[in-house]
Amino acid sequence: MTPAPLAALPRLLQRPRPVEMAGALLTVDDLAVAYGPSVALRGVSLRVEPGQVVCVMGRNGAGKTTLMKGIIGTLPARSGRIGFDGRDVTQAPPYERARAGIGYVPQGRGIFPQLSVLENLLIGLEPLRGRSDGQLEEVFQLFPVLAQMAKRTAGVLSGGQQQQLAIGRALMGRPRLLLLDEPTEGIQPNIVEQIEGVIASLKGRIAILLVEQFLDFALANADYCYVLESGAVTMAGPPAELDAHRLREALAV
Amino acid sequence: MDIWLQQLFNGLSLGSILLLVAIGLAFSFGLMNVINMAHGEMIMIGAYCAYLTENLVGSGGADIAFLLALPLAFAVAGAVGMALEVTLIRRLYGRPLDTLLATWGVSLVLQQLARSIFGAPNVQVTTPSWLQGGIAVTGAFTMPYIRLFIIGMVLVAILLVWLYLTRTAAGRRTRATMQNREIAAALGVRTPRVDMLTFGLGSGLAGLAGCALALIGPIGPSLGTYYIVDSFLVVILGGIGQVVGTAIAALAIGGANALLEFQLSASVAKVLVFALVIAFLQWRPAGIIARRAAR
Repeated sequence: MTPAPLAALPRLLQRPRPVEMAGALLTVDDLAVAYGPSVALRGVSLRVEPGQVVCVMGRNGAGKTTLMKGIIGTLPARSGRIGFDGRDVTQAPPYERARAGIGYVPQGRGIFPQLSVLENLLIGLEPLRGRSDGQLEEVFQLFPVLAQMAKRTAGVLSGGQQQQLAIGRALMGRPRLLLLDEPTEGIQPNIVEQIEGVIASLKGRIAILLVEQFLDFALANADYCYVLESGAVTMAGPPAELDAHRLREALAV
Repeated sequence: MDIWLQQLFNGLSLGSILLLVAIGLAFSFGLMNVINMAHGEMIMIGAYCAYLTENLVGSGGADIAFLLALPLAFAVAGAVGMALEVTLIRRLYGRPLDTLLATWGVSLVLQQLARSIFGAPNVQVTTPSWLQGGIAVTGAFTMPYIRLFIIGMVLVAILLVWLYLTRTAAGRRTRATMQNREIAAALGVRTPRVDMLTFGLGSGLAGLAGCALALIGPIGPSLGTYYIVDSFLVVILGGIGQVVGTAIAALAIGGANALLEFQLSASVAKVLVFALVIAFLQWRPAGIIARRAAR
């Protein structure tokens, strides 16, 4: 018989997988992203579990949008690794990442101004190779104003309507992870409420990585928060465990 | 009076050919910010396709040879354009000056290739019997069937391009990529594929234009260079990315060329057209119709 201490050896030699890694949908490890010569993101790590709402906070210029662009791939990773759904997508072009199941709502909304509202939404079907199974009706239910404006040129929509269009467009592709970059920035309060309601209703159904200025909304809905300062994560944890005083300090202008 | 009408009509058909060529230039500039100096050689390829088809079908089949040549010219020029995009232009993305020089090199290579294959002297295509003659309007003014056919062909081609861009998923992807490449890619649009197909479409249209030109003039290795400068003028004068402006500019430059050439010598006419375009751009730098919003 093998002595008891030796019986444990095979288990010890096998490197244990970190528990939190096991089910993670998105894993960002030590990601560095640069704009030309200046590094805007230095060694950021974060993870998003399926169905989780994860919030990224930080001042202007802290690197939040750069992080989002790094994850979707419009800015290349200088070093580090991005894993999505168990696949290494660090080198994959943006459209492959979108097709893998990442929906993107860019800062400033990024709608196609000269395409109609409907055409903008149909571009959202690209990750599914244009196949639709009733998403359009769902999006119109979520944002009725888009149904009324369907034939209009997207450029004539108000800021709030454009934001709803950008979110609806991202949902058309049935993403498993939604990247929302400041979805309430510069939008009238009643539409902010509506958008926050939609985000809250999506919670648990798809994972959301949210960049948000409204601290209260972020803390109320997030399962986990990261605080970025000068391109690096300085605080992380569930909202209840974050030091409120330090948090306000990190976000103060 | 009649002679003026005649010239104006010839200008109309020349303008329609310029328009067909300019669409391809506008595509590559609007989509990739690329100035493709080899675009004129797509015209030349299309014209030699007409010559080649006639020789393959045989002299007795000139009537159907030309009908076969049209799709062939579109396909061959389109394929060459796609190959050019994939092998060269894509690799110089974001370096417009290098692209300009490299495509100019390609243009010279293609011209030499044509010279080696078909010989330096010009060749000719027999006009199909169903395009001979014309409609006599008044005494000295007749509308030749050839020129009517060219105008009609351009109208049909532009209608098809418009339907492609506005009514198909591929066209939608093209327009989205033109408006915001980064966002289109982030939403799942395979932008390299869009680039290749759009470039191929533009080149195919130039091939079609070349095929039409084979009807009204001799075919030579440097055929494209005669038309490419005017096509660039059309794109710039019309306002970059402006369909209506481009159409107006094409007719204006085609008409001005025809009228001035009739009055003066061809080279003086060219100089005058150049001077008029420059004067116009001093007045309206963005062209006939300015782009609505900056990207």
